[in-house]
Amino acid sequence: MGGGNPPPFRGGNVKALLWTTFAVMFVLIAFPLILLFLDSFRGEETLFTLKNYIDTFSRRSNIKSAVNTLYLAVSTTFFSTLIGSVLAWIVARTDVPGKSILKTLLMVPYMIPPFIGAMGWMFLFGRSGYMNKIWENLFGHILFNVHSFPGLILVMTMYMYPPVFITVHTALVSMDASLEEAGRICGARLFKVMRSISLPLVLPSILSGAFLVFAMTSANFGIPALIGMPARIHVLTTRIMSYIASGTERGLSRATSLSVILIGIAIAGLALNNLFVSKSKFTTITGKSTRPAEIKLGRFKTVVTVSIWVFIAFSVLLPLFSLLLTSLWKAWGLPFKLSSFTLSNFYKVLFVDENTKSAIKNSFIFAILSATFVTILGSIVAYLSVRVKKAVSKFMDGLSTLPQAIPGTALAVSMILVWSGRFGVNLYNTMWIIVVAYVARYMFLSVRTVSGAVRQIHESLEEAGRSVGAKQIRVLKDITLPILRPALLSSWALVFMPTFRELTISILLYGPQTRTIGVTIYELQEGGEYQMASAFATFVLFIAFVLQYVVNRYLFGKERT
Amino acid sequence: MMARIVLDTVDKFFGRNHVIKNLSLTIDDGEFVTLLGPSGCGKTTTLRMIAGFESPTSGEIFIDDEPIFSKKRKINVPPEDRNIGMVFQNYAVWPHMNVFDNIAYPLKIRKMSKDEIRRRVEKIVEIVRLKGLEKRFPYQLSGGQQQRVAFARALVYSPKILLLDEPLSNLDAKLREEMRFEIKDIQRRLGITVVYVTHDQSEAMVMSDRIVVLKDGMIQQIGTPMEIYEFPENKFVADFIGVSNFLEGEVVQKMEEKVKVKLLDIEGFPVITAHHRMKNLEREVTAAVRPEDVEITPEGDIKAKIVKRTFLGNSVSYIVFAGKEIRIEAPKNCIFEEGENVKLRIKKAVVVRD
Repeated sequence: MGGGNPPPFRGGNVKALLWTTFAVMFVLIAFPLILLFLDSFRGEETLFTLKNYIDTFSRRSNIKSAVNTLYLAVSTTFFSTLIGSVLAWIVARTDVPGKSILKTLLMVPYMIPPFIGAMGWMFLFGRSGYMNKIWENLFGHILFNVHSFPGLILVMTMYMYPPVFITVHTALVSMDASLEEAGRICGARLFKVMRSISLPLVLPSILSGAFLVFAMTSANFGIPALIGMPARIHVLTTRIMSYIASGTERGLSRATSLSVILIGIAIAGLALNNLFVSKSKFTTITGKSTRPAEIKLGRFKTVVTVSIWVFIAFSVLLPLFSLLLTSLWKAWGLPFKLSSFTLSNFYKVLFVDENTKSAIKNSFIFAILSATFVTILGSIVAYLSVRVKKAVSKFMDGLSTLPQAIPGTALAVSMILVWSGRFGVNLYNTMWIIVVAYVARYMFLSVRTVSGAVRQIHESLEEAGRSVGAKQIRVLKDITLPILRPALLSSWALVFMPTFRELTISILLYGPQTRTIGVTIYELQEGGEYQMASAFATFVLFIAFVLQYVVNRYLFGKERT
Repeated sequence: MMARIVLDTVDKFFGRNHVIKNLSLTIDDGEFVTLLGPSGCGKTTTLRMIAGFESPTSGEIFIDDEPIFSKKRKINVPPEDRNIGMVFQNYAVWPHMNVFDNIAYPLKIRKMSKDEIRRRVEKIVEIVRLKGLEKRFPYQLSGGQQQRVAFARALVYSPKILLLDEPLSNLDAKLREEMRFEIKDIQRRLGITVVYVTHDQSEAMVMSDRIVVLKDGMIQQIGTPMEIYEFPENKFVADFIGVSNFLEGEVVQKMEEKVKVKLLDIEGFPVITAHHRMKNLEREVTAAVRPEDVEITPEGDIKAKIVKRTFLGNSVSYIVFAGKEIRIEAPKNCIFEEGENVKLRIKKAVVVRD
């Protein structure tokens, strides 16, 4: 029950915990972002000037990078939405065979870190990529250079359609069949019903997927860095990275203003989503009643089935295959026969090379620390926000979800501004700045998971503990925490997975001793060490898939209440 | 083991919402008292204030003359130190512990030895009839079994007081019936003081020594089940507990505990004798008449016409018109046709306040 005195808590210790947590969250998330914003307007003498922006955009390359970001985001959104929706419709509503395997395979790109996916595409369609080589031998010229704007859009689309696919698929599957049946009773043919009833009904889901893709694309770093930069095509994220890499005061200032612009673009996508989709009046898609009718493809069945498998082969399997092939090759360009292949690249990455060995150690340490800190802090935030009905706790909950909408690049820049000694603490070039940034970035995963679980624990379970004589802290230890255990483990794993192979943030924050797996793969690839890079990337994918499997199987699989 | 609960002028606000209004109540040692009322009447809040999960905005609460809450003396004993047992509406059996661990938990908190714990749990498991299920987890138990666990857990440390928050509302009808008697039986055997919250009047009737009827945070009437049923003090109580016909009338003659009332909405203005317990009786009064206290008989002095007949199995329910519609419950051998003209006699009536 509500009111002035929330029952599970008494006295000042809760108040103290609430405000301490709030302070930590503020310093961790709100302060860097506020500072980023303020700094972008700060002059040498004044607090507010547009000089930084004027200076930044006096360079045509910066304008160009902003335009490119928008252009890339819009094109990718268009193609991803088109491909994602069509695929979703085929898998959800037609009688195409093997639906569940199709659904799984089409979601595979979602689990692959984009920069690793980009490597696969480079090995296929780089200037000397496999496909281009084959084509050149046959026709005397290369097929397609991936290091171009169309190439950038292509690769980006291949990693951005899954969110659209899954949201539209869910909407189509859970749509109330009677809505379509009513249309057919009225005399409309099936395709007419699809166009005039089903499409408008799932439109909110399509739009919501589209806006999400827009925000994700504009925030993406890995793909533009590997695909675009070699062709001198810059977007905001890569431009910011170059400025930070320059290490100058001026570079930092320009990176700051570009970051604010980048945040603006990414948030615009999410804001449009909230504006158009959340307030949508189409609320009939509720997910009950019977499953909608399947459409018989008839004589098109073979064509559709073959096309969808060709798409999967081309977009999902081929890049992974080329990555694996490269990782097994002794050297780039050797003849295609058994003696050219070896496992020594993997051996070197895992056991010999000091760089990769220390990267593995670093990344695992950072991931373990971040996952642990995030889970502890996130659980406290989640618990307080559910159990203490006060404005502060609600505000903390909102604060924790904010970095989800902030591009990692911009968040990293804001971390540099705060933790480079300006406020008495200098974490730059240490592992702590990376860990702090990861904690801020991925806090929302923990808060979301744990607060869902806390909401499931009826307050009476805790009150029962008090009523039989256990003190508040004892109830927490004996009752609340054990019941929350699966959620805490999920939260830990959910943070560990993206952080152990993270690139976007660590590329801006690493120091000589704190190279991460992501940074090292990126540098190997940039340096033309393709065998090492791909072996390392394959190892990362292996770990990622195993973790994903374990999490799905053991954490989300069983639940008891 | 003695336990008397006293609530002294307790008020409770949730924000601006005044949910408990100047409530004073004494619950005697070993008594089974039910807080009865519709949802939102403040019965659960009252129970939770006794438990310590809500703090009164003003007033005092005592257990055996020891204050456990006092606004003016700044006393607020936390729930865990009140030594009260409580059974929650949803049982609140901990899902991560098996039956034995659930029941043993209060004893572990009290740092008892392993042997002592085993002995006590064994004994209580016997009482609540859970033998053989000690190793099961809550998700392997039926609703009724979970509830027994909740009871065992609340009783195992021999608290002086047991608070029950609608413990039967999640059970199916048959099991609910059974548990009523079992709870009453356990209470008698242990001699424990029970405060029971429910909105189900028949539950309250069967189990309670005394019933406290609440509405909008105010006590409407306190009394034994029979007193509450036979002599409701106001219209709300008369209507909430059982069914009543309300007949308007004016007092024509006052006697010791009775009064003669001329019924003004009934054809022929018949005069009946009604019970009353009010100090200052006004001229215009309302008489509450139970359906079973109206008899259809040729000797009756009220003319009426049968409007509707419903067969209820063990009795017959009629709606008759006698200037006003009156509900009657008659024995099943007493059959009249719809439209038939009959005569009524009112055997018993009680004057109630508005």
